[in-house]
Amino acid sequence: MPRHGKLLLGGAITALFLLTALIAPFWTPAAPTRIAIAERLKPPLVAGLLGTDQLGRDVLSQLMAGATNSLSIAIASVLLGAAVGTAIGLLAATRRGVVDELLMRAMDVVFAFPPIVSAMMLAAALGTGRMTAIAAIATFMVPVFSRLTRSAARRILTHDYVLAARAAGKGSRRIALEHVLPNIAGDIVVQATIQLGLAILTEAGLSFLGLGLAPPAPSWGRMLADSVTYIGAAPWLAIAPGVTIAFSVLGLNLLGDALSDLVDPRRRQGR
Amino acid sequence: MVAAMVKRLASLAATLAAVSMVIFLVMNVLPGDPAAVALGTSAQEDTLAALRHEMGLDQPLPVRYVHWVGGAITGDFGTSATYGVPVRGLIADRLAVTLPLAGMAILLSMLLALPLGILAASRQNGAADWIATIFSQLGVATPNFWIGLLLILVFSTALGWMPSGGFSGWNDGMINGIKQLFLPAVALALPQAGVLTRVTRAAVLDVLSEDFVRTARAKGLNRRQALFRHVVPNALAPVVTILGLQFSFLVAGAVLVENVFTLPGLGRLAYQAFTQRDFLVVQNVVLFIAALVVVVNFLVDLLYLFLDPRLRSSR
Amino acid sequence: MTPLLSVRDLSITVSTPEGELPIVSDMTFDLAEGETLGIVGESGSGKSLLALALIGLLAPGARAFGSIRFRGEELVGLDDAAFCGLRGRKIAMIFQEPMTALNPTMRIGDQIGEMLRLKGSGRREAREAALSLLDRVRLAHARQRIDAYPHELSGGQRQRVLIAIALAGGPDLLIADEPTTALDVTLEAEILTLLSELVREERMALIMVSHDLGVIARATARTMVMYAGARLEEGPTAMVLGRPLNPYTEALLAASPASLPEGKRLERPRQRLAVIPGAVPAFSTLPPGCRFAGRCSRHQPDCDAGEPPWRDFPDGRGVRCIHTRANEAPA
Repeated sequence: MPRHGKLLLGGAITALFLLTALIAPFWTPAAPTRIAIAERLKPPLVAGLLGTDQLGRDVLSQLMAGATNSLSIAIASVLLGAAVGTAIGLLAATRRGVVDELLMRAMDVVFAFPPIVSAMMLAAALGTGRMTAIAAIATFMVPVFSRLTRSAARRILTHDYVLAARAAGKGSRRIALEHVLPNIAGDIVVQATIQLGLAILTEAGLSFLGLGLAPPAPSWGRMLADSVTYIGAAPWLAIAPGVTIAFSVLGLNLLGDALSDLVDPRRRQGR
Repeated sequence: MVAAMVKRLASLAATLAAVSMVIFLVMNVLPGDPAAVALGTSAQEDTLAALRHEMGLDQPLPVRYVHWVGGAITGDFGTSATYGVPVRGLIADRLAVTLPLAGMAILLSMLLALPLGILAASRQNGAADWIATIFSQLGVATPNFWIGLLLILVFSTALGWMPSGGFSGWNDGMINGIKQLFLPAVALALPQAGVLTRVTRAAVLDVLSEDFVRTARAKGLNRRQALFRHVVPNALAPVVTILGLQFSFLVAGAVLVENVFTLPGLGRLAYQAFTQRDFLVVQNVVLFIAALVVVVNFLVDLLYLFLDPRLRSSR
Repeated sequence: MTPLLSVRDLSITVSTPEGELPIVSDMTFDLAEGETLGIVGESGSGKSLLALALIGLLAPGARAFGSIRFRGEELVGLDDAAFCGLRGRKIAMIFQEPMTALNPTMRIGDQIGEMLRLKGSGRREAREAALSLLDRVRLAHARQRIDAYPHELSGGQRQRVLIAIALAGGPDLLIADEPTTALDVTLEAEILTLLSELVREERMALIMVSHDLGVIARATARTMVMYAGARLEEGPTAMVLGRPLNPYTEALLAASPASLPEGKRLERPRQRLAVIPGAVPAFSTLPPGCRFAGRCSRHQPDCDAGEPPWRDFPDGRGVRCIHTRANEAPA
């Protein structure tokens, strides 16, 4: 796919997604949580653009409100994961030696826990809810960002201007913040975009299992979980949220790919 | 070679020890009382105390940790409160579903992704390349549990070809078991195949531009021979690495897909134990899953030694 | 007698973002059985592209026009399947980078015997053949090293393995593209000696592509000088280097120590040819006249009137320069 094609398509989908998430708290076609049993399980266009669910709630309105929840959890977990991961990566790259070895071993340990599994563990200790979901997703991202930061930082630490700064007596903390971080910011932003897509997928999985937001707060994953019972009678309940998730993640991935090409044009086109 | 093995084994043991400690700390130290969570907010203080005693929560932490890990090493995971049977037997039963499911999913994803990725790279910008690109972008973006729902919708509800879920065990014959695991395996495999296609394509493209491929062609090998004798073997290492890293996602996906298809696997066991507040089972299954991920990545590391002779001679 | 290789009006274009650019143009030369030809020029002169065209391994996007005949068979436009029958068995090639030109995951013996195995030889037979090839390229301890992986060998040893691979099919023409550039001076001498001996023993023709006049002087009987994709001078190596007809050849020689032409012994520091002032013109903006005009010390207005024609002299030399008069060429 041409580079600007990826950028345009990914950017457009992501912009639509962001806009929906911003608008939904103020306006949706119907109140997303309003129950109307008389209107239950109406197919698309008969009631609302995308039909209604088993409690007569408007599917489109729920999807829009779900975008807000999904995106806020995803952004919070990526920010948290990126901040902690980048700090660990910088520390490992500048201190090296035992600190480096210990931190990276610790990252291997964290990486052994798939996010759904760590969410169950955290939920057992803390109960379910927004914070548990964010903590579980962020935990899984910490190793991703720390490894990325460490390898990028080590590359930059060998450059002449860093050696010159070191010779001028700058400490490793100042070097990390003034020389390394600005140079790897692009890589981190690209990775964050891609991880945002993964966070949305994971959040959907968590709320599918009931490990995410508590009902009645609308969430894409729970809409899918609820649809299982009615899959024969009301297939649209299973289709609309899935398409929405896949579409949003696709947009973020395309945008991430295009940004990655912009940050490092030498990298082979990832497609 | 031996030294490299010993070093990796030591690191494996250290990682496993650390993993068990993390699980123990999260389940026992974080501000939360498993007994209180298990009984709900309205529990009486004396019932709570009794449950704490029963769960061993009144003993010092290090004692409880050593007791737990010591038991786990000898295969004694304790007895489940809700099932009333040894956790060990529960895990063993559930593994008989999850391992074949994961195995089938890995196999299916490789069968799809390797040919597609290789074809896409060898005919860059051709039709196969476009199909591979669209397939991998969609695969990576689509949740596996939703693919599961769609498969049920199409193949069970609409066409009636396949069971919509459940698993009757392996006693009814291999074929019957595989048939019941097929749709779940497809749901797990498609997103994996998306990632794998992308990585395979990139790896093959990388190797195609290497000088030794030109040497092979100058010898008189045709494109096909050069591709399969020289390019693909050298492109496998990164593919295998990703397969290992993806194992963690595969396990997470299994928890979801097993729930969609109501398969009595390890992931569903963890989920059910969690909803029934049987935290001993949760703790042990999580340990088991995390250990599985660590061991698989260890095996991938070993496979790497096998695939790349340059790593072998780092004596 | 038909020559082994006969190149006529060959041009090679490469498609770039700026369009199809002619990288090699108007290339004509003959090579007899067992003859050795050096192709010399600065990097970017198109000499490697020419070599790849001769073995049919141009990258996608590069296209050859004109005619390359090998024992009378036309190679331009030959389909890949037919070319595969020639590569290795009739025409073989060794490349510049011994560090990357060998498959890192395959034992060297298997890489040497690979074509034999594919043509149906048994494992034993292919191994014996590989062993005798390793002996022929004078690889010490061949019997122990035949099962080595490339990373276990030094650069010089790997280059010997690459030569063994090239010899495996018993080719009639060996193309060597900068075979010693990646090696140090001592190894360079060893490899050049080996190549010369092998060419004689196997009665192969050799095309040696290099930027280094010293390498060309040691290894070849005839020399062609290329500049910006065109030949500027051709003739017996001793004459081309001893009494150059083209100012560019003179400049190349001036960039090397003066003792060069006679000296079959080359005790000089390695030197690149970039000491000629200026740079090779970009292929998208070639000058209207002589390609070397911009950097030539003998540049005159009429040099820019059009590309100078190629002129052949009776003594077997040829030149592309309007200043060269026939009587300058010694009879």
